[in-house]
Amino acid sequence: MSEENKPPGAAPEDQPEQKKSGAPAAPAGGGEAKAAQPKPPAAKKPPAKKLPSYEELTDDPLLKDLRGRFPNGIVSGQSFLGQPIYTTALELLGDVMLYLRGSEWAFDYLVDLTCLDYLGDPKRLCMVYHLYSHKSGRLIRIKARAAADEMVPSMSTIWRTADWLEREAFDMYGVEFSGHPDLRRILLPEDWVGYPLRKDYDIKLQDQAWIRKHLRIRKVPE
Amino acid sequence: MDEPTILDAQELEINMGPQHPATHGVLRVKLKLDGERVLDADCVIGYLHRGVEKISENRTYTKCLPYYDRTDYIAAVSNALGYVLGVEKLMEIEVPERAVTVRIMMTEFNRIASHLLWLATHALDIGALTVFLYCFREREEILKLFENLFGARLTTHAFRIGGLWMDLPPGFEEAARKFIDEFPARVDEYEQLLTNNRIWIDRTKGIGVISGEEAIDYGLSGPPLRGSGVPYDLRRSRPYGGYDQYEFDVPVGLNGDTYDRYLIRMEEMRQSRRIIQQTLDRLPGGPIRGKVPRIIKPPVGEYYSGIEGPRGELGYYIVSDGSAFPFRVRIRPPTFINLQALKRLVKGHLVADVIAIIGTLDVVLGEIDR
Repeated sequence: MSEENKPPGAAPEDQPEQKKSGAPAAPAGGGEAKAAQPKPPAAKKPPAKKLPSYEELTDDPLLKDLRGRFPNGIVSGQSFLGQPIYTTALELLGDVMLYLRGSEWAFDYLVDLTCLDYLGDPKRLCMVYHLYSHKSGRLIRIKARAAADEMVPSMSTIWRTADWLEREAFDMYGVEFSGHPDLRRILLPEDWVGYPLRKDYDIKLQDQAWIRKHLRIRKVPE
Repeated sequence: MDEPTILDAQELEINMGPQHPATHGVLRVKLKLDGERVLDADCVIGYLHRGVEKISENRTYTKCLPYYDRTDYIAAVSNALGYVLGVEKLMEIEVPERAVTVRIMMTEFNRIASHLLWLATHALDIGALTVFLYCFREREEILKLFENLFGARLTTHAFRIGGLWMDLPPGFEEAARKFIDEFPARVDEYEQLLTNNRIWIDRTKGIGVISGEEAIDYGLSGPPLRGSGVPYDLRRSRPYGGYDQYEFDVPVGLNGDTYDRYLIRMEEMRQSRRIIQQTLDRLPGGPIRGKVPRIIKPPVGEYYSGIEGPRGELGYYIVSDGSAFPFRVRIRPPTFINLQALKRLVKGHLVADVIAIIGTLDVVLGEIDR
């Protein structure tokens, strides 16, 4: 994947050809292929720009503190383009968030709350929180993976902002939040069936029964 | 409650909107009233939901861009800026200095245009008709500049990934300079009509008060947050797109009421003018577009690009899976989150104040519903 991205970046025109000549060599033989594969990238690397990638956080005081306090709670600490990402276990998400808000880290501002859908993964939903501290001026990202039928702890008691944002995540992804005061759809009609932002919800797929009933369109275009 | 007497009015639930001129779009507020007093309010939104985020996942990175003009159609230029900055970061594209400067100039013009529309309609809702006509006169000049440069007045499709579509047309700089030379006198004119106006003060002072701490808890951003005394302006707090090289002040309020938010937006227009002045003075020559690959295919990764839109923090959280289509584009809508505080702000006020408070939050339903 990363090889494919290099040519559009800043690579001269002759490089794609190089890749083509290298590619057929790979499936030629089992053992030899492995030895041959690392060669083309090594040859390409010097001229191509280094692509941004996920880097493990080292020497991050927040990660150290969290690891110390929640030994089983923090799955990983990474950064991408300088933005730190902390992945936590779902069971301890509520505790971690409460700590981040209340402790001296003072992440008092929930910038955004959203969800990602990795179809095919047993824990397909990924909750994403952006937190900001008005005290230190830091912006961090917290992630937690959940299965489609798992309950996610609601953040609405920690930040009021989360109320509508969680309703939106419920509306679009069907995430069930435990402890939310008023979990119902927000943008779509209440009797709508399906969760549109899930990856298995085709863009042309609509709740046809709903459309027939409410818009009185008999023949809904496929 | 159970046995209403003549003196004690019964609790009444009424609908405000969705078709109501003072709700600035199709916003429906279910008000629970005790006589004229608001006991509770529940917003019903989603009438304009078009699924922009879903559409984004089915378009290439370049083709997504025009859709974002149609979320917050009053501030289409800011919307474009947030997105292109995010994609450029993921792709590590260098944007030439001229394009950076023009982008800041146009975004600030857009901020002025947006605040003018806000002032016009907000004053109109409260009953000051004259300001409406004055504001639209100036806004028209800005829209003419937009039309000259972008070819459109509202849905501008302002920027391209890597820079601009076209260079400034001939005569643009002179027209822009003429506007900013005249503008301070115009702002004074609006202030003359409103700032010391008894009726205006009565209608806005002490209405919709929220403390700084509570505003942060509600996640407010933009003028509603700064009105409560929190100096959170992304141009300063987390500078983006070259804003760190410009001089401007971030006005904050003291009381967190509708009047303070009004004063802040008036001052922001003056500060935007100051930034435009600086961009015009330093406008460098050179190319307007960086080196951009034909097909935009960011590497696997994610980036949150937040900018200070006219209404608050506008964020694009872009997740790439390495293909030519975004895996996810999440728009952090400032007014969606600001509107959430409406319920809290209107409690205990009169029905007429609800209109003032909706106005002061400066909602755009196209962005709330996406």
